Amino acid sequence: MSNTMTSFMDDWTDDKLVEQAKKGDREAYSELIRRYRERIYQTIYRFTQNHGDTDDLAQETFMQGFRALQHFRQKSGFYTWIFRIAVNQSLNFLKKKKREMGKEEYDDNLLDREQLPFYSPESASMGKELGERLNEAVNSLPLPYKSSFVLVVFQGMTHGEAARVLRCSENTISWRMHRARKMLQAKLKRYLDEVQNDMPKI
Amino acid sequence: MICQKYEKWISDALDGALSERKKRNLNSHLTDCSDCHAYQESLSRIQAEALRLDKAKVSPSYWENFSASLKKRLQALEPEREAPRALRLSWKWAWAGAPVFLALGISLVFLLNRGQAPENDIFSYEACLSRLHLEIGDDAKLEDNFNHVILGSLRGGLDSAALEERYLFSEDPFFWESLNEEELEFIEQEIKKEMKS
Repeated sequence: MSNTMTSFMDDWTDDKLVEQAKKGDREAYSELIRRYRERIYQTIYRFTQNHGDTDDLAQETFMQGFRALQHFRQKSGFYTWIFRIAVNQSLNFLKKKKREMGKEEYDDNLLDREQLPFYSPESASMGKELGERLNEAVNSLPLPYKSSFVLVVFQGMTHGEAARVLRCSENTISWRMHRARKMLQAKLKRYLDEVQNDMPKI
Repeated sequence: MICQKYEKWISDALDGALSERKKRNLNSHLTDCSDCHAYQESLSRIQAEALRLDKAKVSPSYWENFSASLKKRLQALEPEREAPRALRLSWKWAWAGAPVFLALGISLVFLLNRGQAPENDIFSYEACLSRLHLEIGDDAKLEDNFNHVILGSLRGGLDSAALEERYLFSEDPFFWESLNEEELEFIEQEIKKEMKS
């Protein structure tokens, strides 16, 4: 894409770019890619946790978007629509991967498994930071909760925006966030308590 | 029980999704309840830590390659042509038959899972629906047909007023989360009764 073309399209709204792209203008679609590629990439990365798969899925998201553009009725913004494709791609990828690994698809009993040795004094002494533990805990969330958490916390979406991407009600997102946090807190509780006790009293 | 409500409000507040009135109510509760106060502190800590988590590191040259590769693939795509009329007609018939196939599919999934699901595991039903939901994906027509089938079977057991009040669970495979403990217990009992019969 030429620089002139890019700067020319900088002022165009997403809707206008979509209209042009529907007519077959690939430059217009390239501009939409440029606008959202980083956010799409970061979102997919939260699911896959590796660059190779993220690259494939991000490319496939935009390809699928272009192929399906004629059916995009623009009732939602392009941003919501392309995010929905990216999240669906990621969820299908994880489901396929889990099937291949012979694991259960969803782990809904997570709340009952607080006693799993996620935390132990030994592992704490290995110098794992809370961030790493949190990352592991988020990755172990069941997919509905994980997708809500990724969109709301990592992408900064409102409950309404996340609901439109995941095609559910705002109330559902609110409950999923609540339960996701309960699971995270249950998994990290002992570690959080430990850190809290080690903190100097003011 | 009352703290459960406040725990959810704490979560909503972190997402900026709590009304001012509820916020005042929550703050007043937090000053009196040390458990909820501690819970709020740990969630705030988790939230702050989550926001600090590293993003995927990607070099600027990566984006150039990413865009160039996509552009090449896009150029290779043929513009979508309108389907021939005969094909469109056959699709119309396919849509008409979709509810029947969906109903059969749902029955099959439920039957297959019936023997495997433990009696106290109501979430296995959620998993059945979520698979169907993901299969439907972005396909609005298929989704409409799916909703139609589910609604049809619901209408048999519920009066229309009750149906209007409850949002359509077929729109959301994870609708269980929107129910309170009491409702969940009731559904669980009903499912157990159903399974026994």
